[in-house]
Amino acid sequence: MTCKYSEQDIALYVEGDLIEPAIEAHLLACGTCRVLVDELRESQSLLKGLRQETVSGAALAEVRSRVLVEVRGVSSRTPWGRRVERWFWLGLRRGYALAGVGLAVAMGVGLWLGAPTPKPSVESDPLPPAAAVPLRKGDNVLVETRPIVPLAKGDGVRGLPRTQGVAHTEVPKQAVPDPGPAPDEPKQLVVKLLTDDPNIVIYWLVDQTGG
Amino acid sequence: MSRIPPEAEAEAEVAVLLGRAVAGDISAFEQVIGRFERRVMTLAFRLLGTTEDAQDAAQEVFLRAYRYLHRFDSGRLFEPWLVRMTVNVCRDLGRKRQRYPNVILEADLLRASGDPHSELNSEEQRQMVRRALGELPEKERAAVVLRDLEGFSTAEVAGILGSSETTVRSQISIARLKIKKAIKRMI
Repeated sequence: MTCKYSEQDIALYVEGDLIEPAIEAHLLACGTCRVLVDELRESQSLLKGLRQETVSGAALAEVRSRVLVEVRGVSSRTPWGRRVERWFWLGLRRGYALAGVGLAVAMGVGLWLGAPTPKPSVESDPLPPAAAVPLRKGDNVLVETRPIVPLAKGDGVRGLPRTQGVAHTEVPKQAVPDPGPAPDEPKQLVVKLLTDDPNIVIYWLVDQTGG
Repeated sequence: MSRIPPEAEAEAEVAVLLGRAVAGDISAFEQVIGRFERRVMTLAFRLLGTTEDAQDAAQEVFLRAYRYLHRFDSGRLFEPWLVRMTVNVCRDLGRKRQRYPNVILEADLLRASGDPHSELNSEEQRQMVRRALGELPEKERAAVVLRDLEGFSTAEVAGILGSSETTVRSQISIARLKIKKAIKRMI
């Protein structure tokens, strides 16, 4: 359409959404636009025929019944109970609120589990003395120095199942000859604790001064 | 006439009923439903195209209205608030179900109230128009239904849809052209 007015302009004009006197004059001169106007008026007349339709009483009654059943269920709770409920659920649909609470709990548990485990206290349950295997400077080998003993009650790692009393002994993969302590360097003892959970390993670093 | 004229007396009655409903009077809310259920159901059917979806949408609309009644500003008109909620619910339901039947739509929900002798031709014509409506994108369908069937002005339609008036006018004009072409193709 190469007229001054687009088809969209004509589509607005036929329903009075575009009032422009110049369009009337254009229609007198443009046969294409006149045809478009006639076709649009016909289709709009058919569209507006849908206005005569009414909704069946049965369908309305069914919806009303469903709504009232649910509304009566809500209103049976006490007013203060409804206020608490509204406050608690923050006005959200229960499903969304439950999902949000569940997500927050899951994130909290995930953060808690991912937090570094604290060093257990050696004072409450002194472990048998370990055979010291001093490390040389630059060594990256951690050697287990003694067998694991079952933890006493209450000594389990935070939140995790306590070891079940199974002792693990890990043989060092590399036998490190003892070159003797370097002069002026404090000896350092590394103690490695294994538990039933392979993902949990506890390392103690103890130097000569006992720190 | 599809649009309920905003008579001051009717509005005052609705305001009284809403006040009682907020206070917990279920019978008052039932009367509110009775006043607007036809409007809500008809609009929902025109937007969604099936009886089942229209009933689900209407149920959701009235439940939401009851839940958020305490937030409704009694100084404003209730009907536009309800219509906007209906459009939003229908949009959400339509997207969730991702369907608007491009087949002959149901005629049992909506019955013609005219001359029974000419009903057959009229029913065929209505089927054509419903099918043409069904072919429109959701936003264009909502705009043309609210403007040409529900009788809202373009400014009111823009307010209901949360769009600018320019956008609504564009959507309406495109929708009307598409309906014309679809009907011409079906004849």
